[in-house]
Amino acid sequence: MQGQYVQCKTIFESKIGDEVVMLDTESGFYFGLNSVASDIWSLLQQPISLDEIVQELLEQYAVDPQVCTDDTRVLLEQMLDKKIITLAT
Amino acid sequence: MYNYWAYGLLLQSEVFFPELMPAACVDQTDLYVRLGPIPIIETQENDFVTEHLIITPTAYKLVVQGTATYYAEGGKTILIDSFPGHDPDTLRLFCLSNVFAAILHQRKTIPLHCAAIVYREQLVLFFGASGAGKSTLLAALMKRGYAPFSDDVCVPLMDSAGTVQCYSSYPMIKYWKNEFELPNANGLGQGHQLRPGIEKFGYYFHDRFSTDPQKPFLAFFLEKAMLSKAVKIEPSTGMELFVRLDAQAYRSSHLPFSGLQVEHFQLFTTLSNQLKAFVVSRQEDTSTVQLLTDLVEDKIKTSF
Repeated sequence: MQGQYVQCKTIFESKIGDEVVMLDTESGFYFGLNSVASDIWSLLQQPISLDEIVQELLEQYAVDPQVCTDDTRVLLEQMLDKKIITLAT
Repeated sequence: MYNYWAYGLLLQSEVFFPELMPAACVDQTDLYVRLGPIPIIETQENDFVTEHLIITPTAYKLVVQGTATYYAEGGKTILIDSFPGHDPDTLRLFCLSNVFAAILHQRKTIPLHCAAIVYREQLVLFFGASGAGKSTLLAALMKRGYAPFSDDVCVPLMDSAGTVQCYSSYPMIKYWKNEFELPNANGLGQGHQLRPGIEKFGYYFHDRFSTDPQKPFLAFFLEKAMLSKAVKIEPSTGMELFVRLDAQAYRSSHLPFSGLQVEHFQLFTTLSNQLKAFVVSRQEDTSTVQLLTDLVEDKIKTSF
């Protein structure tokens, strides 16, 4: 996955405990993120690449770099598919 | 003209509502209830329009055949055009439920479908589908000395500190005739049949009613357990709690047409962080009511 990603502006978010719940005002759908996904979501406030996200996560979590890269890539693809993030221009 | 307090609002009404809390005649009036013809509503593509119901962000019309046509506008005015020979109890019932819900939505508030008691100056909320046992549990707790706050609806508002407070609706508790224990045993007085042909009764508690908002702290979600006779209580937190609360908006089917999507989201995320919550499931028979009340009362006392 090349390029940088950023949160869509149609998303409202709120923290509930360790989780983040989001409302897409365009579709009316809710999305929930667990603790780790919430950390990734926070990094997407500004345009950021997959590699940069992985680098940040490796500083916080004791995880195999390839596993971290693969899991983060899957999450970003899901977020793109649901249109809660977009490619930064 | 009559002056009342209801759902956190001061209203002037041409209709006599024995259900509502009388209020002193004051300069500030939030809502007017008038009798008269209904204007035509201009609708747009995204509005909800059927023969009997119209919902736009600023206007609402409901036709109840044989009773009345109701109109609510701008969160400030209710007009009622009654049918000849209508039943006055039925006329008031639809006004107090559906039409007031529309007024509250127009005023950018989202009422909660729940019963509530007051405990140590905070609220305990009881959610559940119709027939789940909210009124039964409310009656059982009142018999043990707990103060009723609301039977069916609480109106939330965000205060300046970002905390959700709730107003009550009005001082009447509604019971089916075949409830497990007659309401007279709770000192509520003789019931008033709500509508002809329906064995549901209303009991007033004006002498114990509070018009002040209170902060909700604790919530119970009542569910029917189909297979087990036992009563179970389990905590509900985080996203799971948010999803449960999201389903508890009063007249939630109207919300998408009222333009309150963001307000709905902000209210329920704040409540999810504010409330300690439990899911209570029991089989629907009278033998579990005592056990249910014991377990709920224990959670109330240990949660504060």
